Amino acid sequence: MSSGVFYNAEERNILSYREITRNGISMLEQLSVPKKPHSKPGLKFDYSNYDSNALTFAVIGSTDKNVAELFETEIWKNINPSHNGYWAIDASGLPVGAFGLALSASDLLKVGSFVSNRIRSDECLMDYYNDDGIVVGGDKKGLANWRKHSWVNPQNLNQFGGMGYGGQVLMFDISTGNVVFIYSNYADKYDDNIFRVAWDLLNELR
Amino acid sequence: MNKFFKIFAVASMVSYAFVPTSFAATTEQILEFRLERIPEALTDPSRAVLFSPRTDDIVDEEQSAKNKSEYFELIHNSPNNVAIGYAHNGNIATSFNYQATDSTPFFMYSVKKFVVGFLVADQVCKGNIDVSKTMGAMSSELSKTAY
Repeated sequence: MSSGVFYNAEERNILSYREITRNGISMLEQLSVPKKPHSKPGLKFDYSNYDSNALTFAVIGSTDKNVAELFETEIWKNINPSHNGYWAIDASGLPVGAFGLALSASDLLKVGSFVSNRIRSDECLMDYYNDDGIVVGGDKKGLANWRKHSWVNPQNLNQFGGMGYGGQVLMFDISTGNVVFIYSNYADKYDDNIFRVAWDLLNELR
Repeated sequence: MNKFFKIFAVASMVSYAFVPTSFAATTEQILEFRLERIPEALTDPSRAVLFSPRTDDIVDEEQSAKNKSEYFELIHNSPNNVAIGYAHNGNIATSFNYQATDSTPFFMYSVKKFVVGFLVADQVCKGNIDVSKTMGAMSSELSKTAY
C-alpha cells in the first residue's frame, strides 16, 4: 500500500507520517510543503499520509461536511454502537484523514459489517471495489485511489481492508460479509504474516 | 520512576499517536501507550471528535463461536496480539489480552485510510463528489498545494 505524493524522503528531516503528531502542524501545513509529485529512479519514497489528508479537503469542498461528520451520519448512526468512539483532529481542529480512528473492538466489527454490506448491496460501490477502485481528482493529480488505501489478498480479491502501522487489521470478505479484526502490538513495524493470519481467519469463517 | 521511563512519558505527552522509536520501548510500555495513554488523550476535545454510543446494550460475545475455532484461539494466544474478533452471520466474537477490554478504544492508525476511502467512494456513488475534477478544483485550500 502507498498513499502520498512522491518525493525524495531523504531530503526531509521528519517522516511525513509523523509530522502532524510530532510537530503539531495542521494537515494543510503538511500539504503545503513543496513536493515533487513525480517519480525518479533512485528516490526513496516515504510512506505518507498525504493522499488521505488531502481527501479530507476534497470531501469538505464537495459535501460541506468533514470526514468525521460523514462518518457519523453515514456509518456511526447506522451501526448501533456500544461504546465511545474517537476521531483525531489536527492542530487546526480539522478531523484527520490518514489515522486516528479509535473504536471498541465490537464497534469496529460493526463498522466492518456495515461497510461490507453496503458494498455488497450497492451496485456502484461493488463495481468500484471489484475493479480498479476510484481515482478522485482527474488523471495526473488523481492520487486518491481507494486501492492505494487498501490491502488486498492476492489469492482472493474479495478479501481486503485496512492495516495500521503496528499490525492493526480490519479485513473484509465481500463474498461472505464476514469481517476480521486483529490488534497487534508491534512497535514501529508489523509482521507481514499478519495478512495471512487475517485472510486465513476469513477463510475459516466461510 | 527511572530516567528511561521519564523520557517515554514526556514523549507520550508531546505526541500520542506514534510510538517513540528513538529507543527500544518494551512491550509493556507500548501497551500502556496504546491502551491507556492514547485513549486518555483522545478524551480531550481539542484532540479528537467524540462519537457517543447509541445503545446501552453491550454486545454479547458469541463464546461458543470462539471456542469452536482452534485457529481463533491460536491467534488469541499469540503474545503479539492484544485483541482479535470477527463478525460472522450477524454475530460478533471478540477476545482480549493484557489490559484491553471490550470498551477499550483501539487506535487503528492507517486503517482509517480505508474508512475514509469508503466514505469517499460512497459519496462518489451518491453523486456528491465529481471524480473528474482535480483535487485543487474541489478545494480552494488544496489548490495552493501540490494537488
